[in-house]
Amino acid sequence: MIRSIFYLMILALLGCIDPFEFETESGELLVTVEGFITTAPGPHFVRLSRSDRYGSVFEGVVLPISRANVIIRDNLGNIEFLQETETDGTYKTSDAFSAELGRSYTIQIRTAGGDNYISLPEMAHPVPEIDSFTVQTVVIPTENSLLNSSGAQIIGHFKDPADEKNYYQWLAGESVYTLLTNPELFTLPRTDPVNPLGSAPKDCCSKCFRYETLRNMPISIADDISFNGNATRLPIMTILDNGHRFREIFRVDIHQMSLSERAYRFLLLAKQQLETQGNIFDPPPANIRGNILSLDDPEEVSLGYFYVSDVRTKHLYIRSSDLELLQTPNLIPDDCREVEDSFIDPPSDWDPN
Amino acid sequence: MKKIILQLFLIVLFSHMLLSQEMERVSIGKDIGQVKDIDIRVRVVDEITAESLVGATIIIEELNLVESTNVNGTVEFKLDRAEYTLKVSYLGYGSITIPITAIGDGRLTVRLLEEGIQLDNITIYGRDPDRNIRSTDMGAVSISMAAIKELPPFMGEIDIIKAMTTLPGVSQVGEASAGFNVRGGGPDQNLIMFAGAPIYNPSHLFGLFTAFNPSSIRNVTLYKAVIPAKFGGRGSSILDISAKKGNFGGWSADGILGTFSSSVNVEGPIIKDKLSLYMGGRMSYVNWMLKSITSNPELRNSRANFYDLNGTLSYAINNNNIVSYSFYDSYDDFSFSADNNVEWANRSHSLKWEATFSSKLEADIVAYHTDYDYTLLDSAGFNNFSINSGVQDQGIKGFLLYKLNDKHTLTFGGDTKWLSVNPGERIPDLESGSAILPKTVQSEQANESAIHFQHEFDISSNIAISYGARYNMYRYLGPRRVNEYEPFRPLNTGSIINTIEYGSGDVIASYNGFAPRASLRLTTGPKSSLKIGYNKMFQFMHLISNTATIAPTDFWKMADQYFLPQEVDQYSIGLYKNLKGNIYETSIEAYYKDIRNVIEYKDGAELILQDNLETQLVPGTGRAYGVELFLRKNVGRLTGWVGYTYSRSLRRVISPFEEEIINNGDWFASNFDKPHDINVIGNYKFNTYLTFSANFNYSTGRPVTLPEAKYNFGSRELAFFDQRNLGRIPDFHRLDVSMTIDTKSKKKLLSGELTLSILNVYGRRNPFSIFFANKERILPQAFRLSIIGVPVPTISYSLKI
Repeated sequence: MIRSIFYLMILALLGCIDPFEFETESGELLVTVEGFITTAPGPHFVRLSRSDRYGSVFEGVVLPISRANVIIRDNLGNIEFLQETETDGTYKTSDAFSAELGRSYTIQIRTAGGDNYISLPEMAHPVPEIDSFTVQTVVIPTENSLLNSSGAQIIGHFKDPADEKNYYQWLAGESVYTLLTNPELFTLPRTDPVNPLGSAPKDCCSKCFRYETLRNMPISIADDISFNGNATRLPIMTILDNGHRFREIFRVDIHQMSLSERAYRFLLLAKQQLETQGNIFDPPPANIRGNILSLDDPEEVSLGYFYVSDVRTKHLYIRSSDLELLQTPNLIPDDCREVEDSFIDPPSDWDPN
Repeated sequence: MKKIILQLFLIVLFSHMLLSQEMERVSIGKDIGQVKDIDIRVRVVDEITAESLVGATIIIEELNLVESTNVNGTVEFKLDRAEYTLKVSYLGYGSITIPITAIGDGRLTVRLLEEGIQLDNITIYGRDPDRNIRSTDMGAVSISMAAIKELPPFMGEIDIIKAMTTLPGVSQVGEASAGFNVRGGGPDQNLIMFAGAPIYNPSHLFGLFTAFNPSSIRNVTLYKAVIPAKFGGRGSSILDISAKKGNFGGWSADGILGTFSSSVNVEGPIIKDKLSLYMGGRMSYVNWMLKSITSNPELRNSRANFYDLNGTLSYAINNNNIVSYSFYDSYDDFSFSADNNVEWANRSHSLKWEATFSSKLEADIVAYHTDYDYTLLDSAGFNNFSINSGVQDQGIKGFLLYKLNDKHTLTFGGDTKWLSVNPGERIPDLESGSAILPKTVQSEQANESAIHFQHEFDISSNIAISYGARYNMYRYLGPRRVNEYEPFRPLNTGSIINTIEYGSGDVIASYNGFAPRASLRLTTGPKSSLKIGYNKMFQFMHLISNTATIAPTDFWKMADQYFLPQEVDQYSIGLYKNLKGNIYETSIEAYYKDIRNVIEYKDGAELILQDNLETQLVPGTGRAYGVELFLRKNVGRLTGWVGYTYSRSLRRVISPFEEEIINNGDWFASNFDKPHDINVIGNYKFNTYLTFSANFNYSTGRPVTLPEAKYNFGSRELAFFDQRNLGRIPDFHRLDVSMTIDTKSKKKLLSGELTLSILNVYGRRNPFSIFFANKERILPQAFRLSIIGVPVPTISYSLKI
């Protein structure tokens, strides 16, 4: 009893956080642009949407802006027309299009309603190559230490150029890993007319290559203010172990990208907002100013950012032996090819050695 | 004329029944046939510690004469040869009635016993009963430690700053707030002094507790309206905490065993009647609780230690000269996980000389050194580093008090201090192979001096004035590299056109300021008065903090050519009335404040290790106004007070550059604008052994910036914030109760006080903040952070040996 009172008090000491209902006024429907182009071959994607009320969960759905004319123009007058994809509000460049170092780019948008928007020009600065990676195990403690989650923290090693200010962003590209399943444990469905849940081992296959796009990764950025000109190593992202990813070999494409100072600042404020905890160290909410302007009404506020990056990409292979702790996978008693995005053949450039 | 000194020790004995003690008649002076103009000097001291009691009231009933003791605890009377009745009283002490016969010039020492030590039945709150009516003081609030101890403790700890916030016009942003706000001023506009030395961050556990051991304090006074000219340097208020001196008579000790911390205090004479010592220390065991009690992984890896240590050594050279040395030391060490750590420490030393040259002339001189240091350690495994920052302040100040006659009192003096600020320094841990570069933001040096005088003049029995002025002189000194910016452009790193190098001691910027103060008291009835006042303050330093409250990561910035000194003008008026023979004390005060050169932040300002702070901040103006109602019951089984404040605290930032304008240049609510604030304090003495007390606080929720929309960003949704502080978090209200049992016993060790308290009785989740986040797998929404979201029971035991 006393233990639990003390425990309550300590919890109280460190505060408690819970969702909170509040009423906001009807939100503003502001044009939002998000996207970037890089020096790598296309297609590059841009999304257009309209902001809405920040309120309770079911209100204020952010809707895409379809049927807009979108072009990207460089300072030499070259124009790239973007096509809307099957996903509403998402526009893409041609496969052949890539940004060139030293040129500046703007995006120009004309909505179906005839409103015109333009971004302030952005230029791609060169970014250094990633020299190598190291991987270390991170353990994320939970209430029950037997159920701690864990993952692979990726540390990038690179040499920062000394004579300039550099801003970096890291993105995880496509990942692929060996998926192990147990087709020999396959059972018939519960609805099987003859032998419901009966054992029906399959001969194939227990090992596939599964493609996965990593989602909900925190924004990973840095400026070189604290390591300018140094060969440095920085933790750039952490990939959680879901039991399957690291059973044999996991591969991820890591993009190291350059940012302009303004784009860095935009992403930094976005990161701050996404990671706020409401405690005494948190800065107050900031107006995150983007680089999109309305051509028709200078007073109109537009949101989001369009930026241009140089990019260097490297494959990173993580083997199960690189990690000190592995999560227990839940069994998949079936042919691995039945799992979404899984294939029996490795990617053509699969070269873990 | 040779004065005959009569020292009289009057000891108040144990009593259950009486409010004041009747004494036998005392004759004063040697009979040399004086009939008129007999000088009688009365000194009021604490029975236990022999310390002078400043501001004690002495009433001579026969003459209808009321006087208060000066800084040395003395009052001078000129009497005719006759019999008189002296009533002596002091806040938190039992009052005493002494019949005297004035025969010749002489002295009388009256010893008062602190309430709650033995006088049981009645609690006396407040300074002497009439003082609020008669003095020209405005907005000066003194609470004795005895009175503070009667309030429900906060998390089991007696907390002087939390006690101050129960008074009208004083508020805090939230429950874990180190700072406090006085009449719409920022938390950096309060000067907190312990034994004359400024203390920069007196907080434990990020403001959950105040870093003053209650046992080490003799008296606390908060000046919030017309501030005496001898004080300056901050815009809103002065919190003057006088340190306890050790008893010159005998040794004693006391201790408090609390829920989160315990303290031990020892005092006594090293040389009887000459040299006394007080030492007190407080230490927490939160850390031990974290380690041993919880299974929560975050808590298991957290650490929280704090302690504070105080001491005073007092040397009575003779009856007229006391020299005392005090030190203050507080330390906090906090980590949320194994790989980062925050430490902060305050350390101060002060040396004080209190002298009485004659019955008319007294002096008080203090020299001090104070140091605040903050360290953040990051040891995540590689790229380890630490960040240090701090402030050092050392100075000397003094004043002379000359009492010309009954009607005129003059005070004059001066002070000077040298400040140096280390805004931040990053040191890589090279042993761990850290690739982080070292970085040091240039330190700052400044000298701030002032001369001041004050004249208190009783024009007639109905009209009194007090006026004075403080002339401030400030110099911002090298060595320093200073940026010069392109004119007519907003300050940003792109508009730097030149850098000027200043040598050591070179004057980079200097400001002088004349700060007059005046107050007028009109007696409007036998028990009522009207006071009006004006006050101007200069503040030559800014607290750089991008959070609503004081955090240990905050650092100070001295005024320079880009950050002008803060200037505050305050106009106040008050009506004071005592009812039913001073049982009830009521007041209405209203004020208006103009504040110039307060700092506001550009959106997303980056402050930590910032070389060019002027590019991240914009100067603004402020105004604050309010009405404060106060009703206090001083005597009886039920005592306590009700305070209501209506106030506004607004800010405005206008600039020729659009990017610097905040909220279109309109007035907007400051982070601590809480229009309605109600405090109800009740204290009921059930019998000699049992006291109940309760404290209820209600205030309007503080302003918050609400998102005007949400928009897509990557796989998340972001909030669009535009105008600042247009919304409010829900209103704050909380009830705390406590019960104190006096475990009287003949055995000393068993004779103590047991206090049981419950904080936040009905478990309201008062939001400290509302924030907006799009967490993984949850749609974007508002979250509430509550610091104390449940009822918190605490227990403490205090005993005195």
